[in-house]
Order: sequence, then C-alpha cells, then structure tokens
Amino acid sequence: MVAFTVRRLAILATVLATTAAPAGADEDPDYHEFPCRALALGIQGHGTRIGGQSESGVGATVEYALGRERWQYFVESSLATAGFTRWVPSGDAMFGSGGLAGDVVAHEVEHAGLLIRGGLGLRWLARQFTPNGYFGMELYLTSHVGVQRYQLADLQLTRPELALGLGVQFRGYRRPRGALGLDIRVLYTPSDPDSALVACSGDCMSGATSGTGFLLGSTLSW
Amino acid sequence: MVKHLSLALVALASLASLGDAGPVTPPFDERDDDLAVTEADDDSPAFNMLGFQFASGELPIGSAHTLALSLGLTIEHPVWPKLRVVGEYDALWLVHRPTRDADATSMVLPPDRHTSGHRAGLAVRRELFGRGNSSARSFLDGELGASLALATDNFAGPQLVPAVFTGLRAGFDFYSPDDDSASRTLEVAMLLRAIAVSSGVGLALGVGLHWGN
Repeated sequence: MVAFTVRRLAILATVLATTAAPAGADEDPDYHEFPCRALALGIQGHGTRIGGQSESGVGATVEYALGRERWQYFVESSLATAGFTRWVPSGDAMFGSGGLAGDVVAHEVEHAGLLIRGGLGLRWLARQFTPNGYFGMELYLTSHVGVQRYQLADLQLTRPELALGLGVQFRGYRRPRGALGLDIRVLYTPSDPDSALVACSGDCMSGATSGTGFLLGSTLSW
Repeated sequence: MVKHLSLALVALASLASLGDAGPVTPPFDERDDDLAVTEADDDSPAFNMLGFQFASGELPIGSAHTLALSLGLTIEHPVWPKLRVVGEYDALWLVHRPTRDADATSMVLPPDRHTSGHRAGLAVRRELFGRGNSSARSFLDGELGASLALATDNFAGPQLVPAVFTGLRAGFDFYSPDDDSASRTLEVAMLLRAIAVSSGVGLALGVGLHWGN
C-alpha cells in the first residue's frame, strides 16, 4: 500500500514539474503582435557615396511582410532618383583670369540617373505604448541586406548593401488596421570598384573601400 | 520501498527547482510605490527607458566648422531617486565645410572631405524640475557624461575622438491608463549639449523619443 502511494506521488510530482516549466521567450501577452501579413507603400530618401562622392536621391518603396509575435520579416524594393556632382579638372594649370601657378581649373559635372534597390530584412518590436486598446506608438529595431543597382548615363554600378536602424510607427489594433511609420537606417556599402563585391562599368571612380550612408523613409502599411 | 521514496524525493526536488523559475512579477496595481506611476508630488518614476535620439550641432574637429549629425539608441536605468545612468550608441556623420578661395575668378578644386563613424557614451542624468499628474508630467533634467567616437576620415584615416559633455534635457512624460500596455510611459524630449573635444567646445541640439517599461 505504501509503495503504491509513493509510486503515485512520484508520478504526480513529475507531471507537476513538467507543467511548471517556464513559457517561451516570445510569449509576451502585453504586446500587440505584428500582423501575419502586411503590405506597405512609402517614400524613401537615401544618401550614399560613390567613389568618395556624395550621392543622394528620393523615390518610392514597396514592401511585403510576414509577422510572427514581435518579429516581422520583410522583402522590399525601391525605385529612386540618383545623382551626384563631381568636379572635373579642365586641362593644365592656367594663368590669367586671376589664376595662380599650380591652380587647377575645374568645372562641375552632374551625374543623374536611377537607383533600383531590393532586399530582405527583419524587424523586432522593442517597445509599445498603448494609451488604450485601439492604437499605439511603437519602437522597432530593423536590419536588412540587399543589392543596389545604379543606372547613370556614364556609370552602371551594382553593389551589396547592409543596413541597421530603427523605426517609429503609429499602429491601429482595431479595424481598419494600419500603421504609419518613420524608418531610419544606417547604410553600409562598398565603394571600391576593384572590390570583388562591386560590379562597375563606365566611369568607375576610385574612392574609399566602404561608405556609410543612410535611408530615411515613411511608409503606410495594411 | 526505499527505492520508491528516493524516486519521490528526486521528483519533488526537480519540481522545486523548476518552480523557482524567477521572481514573480506582481500585477501592476499591486506593485510597490517605487514602481508605480507617480503622483504630482512624488519623485520621478523608477523604470528603465529605451529610445532613440537625433542630434545636430557643430564640433571643432579638423576645421573650424564641422557639422555633426548623430542618430542613436539610448538606454536609461534608475540608480537613485531622480538620478539615472544613461548609455548611448550613435551613428555619427561629420560634414566638413572647407573655406573657399577668396579669389572668385580662380576655380580651385575643392577637397571633398567626409567623416563617419560610431560613438558610445555614458552619462548620469538628474531631474532638476518635475511637475505633473498621473496622465502626464513635464521635466527638466541636467546631465553630465563622456563619450568616445571612432571616426573614419577620408583624409586622416581612422581616429578616436574622446569627448565630455554636459547639458539640459526638457520634455514630457505621458503615462498610459491601460494596464495591458507593454510600455507604461512615453517620453518626448529635447536636449541641448555642450560637447568638449581636444580642439574646443561645440554645441548640439537634439530630439528624442523614449519608451519606459
């Protein structure tokens, strides 16, 4: 009888021990999770460097995202203007017109074209402030890897990009669900045309081996 | 029988160790007053803050006029009533403004100098003034700290830039009445800093948004 009772107590204790195991790390009931699927449209500005020269532009972006709890995985693409100004020496050093020996007379040359971007990324919902159950102000951290393709008149450049950043969005949790967000990312790109990561044709300029730029965008998502 | 008793004791010991998975967090309403939303006369609420800030200013690095732009994350942790420790990480861009040749008829090829990098900082922040209620609160903080930046300049190469800073930070805290809100506080603030580097003192003006847990 005693042995039977002890055996049942041991089995009961083992069952209770397994049910007392802590919950998974992402099961946080206080957060309104990312939607399972979301489509976003927006505008995005960028600033990078090509061959050491500043380049910037603005354009449209489209994104499709899959959400799971506090994580969101997205694929995005953008089409933007691209342009930079370069000073080009105009022949030998010249005297006259106030020029001094050793001065290099130069003129500005503008390069304009298009930038096509595509990439994969993820977001993590870091903080969420909800004054009521209808909407909230959220902070998320984001990163993505992708490819840039510049199509300029005398330069065709393809290079990878890596971005790390953060975003703030104002999201509704009841129908119609939507979010308006501001996204800021630091952009890392190789600039050296001799790098194995960079494919360049045309007037490829020498410059720093890598550059730090930025992406700034605003999106509306459903 | 001894064998069964030993098995039961092992099972009970396993239950005790798994049950002690960590401190039990009481419901918000039952927490100590130190963690609760403050009344108008209480000290500032003691909870961690996570957010970001964007700052712009001028620093005397290299040339006389260097525009410094920074974007970064900030973590704040209370250590004493009204005193908090702040950790910052910024992405940094320095835009140098070279002086043009005075002779406008001579087109001298201007150098394109640019700098970017990373900056980490540590500061202490203390509330100097605060007033509000259970919904919102205004505040004025003073801060003192130091930072170290690793900047890559296309002329000078990588360089370390240590700095000390002091400043004021003013803004509003908004408190959520929703008990289910993951962050009970949203803070909007503006900051003004004086930053001292080896070659002089500069100023920075910024805005930030922070969420409290």
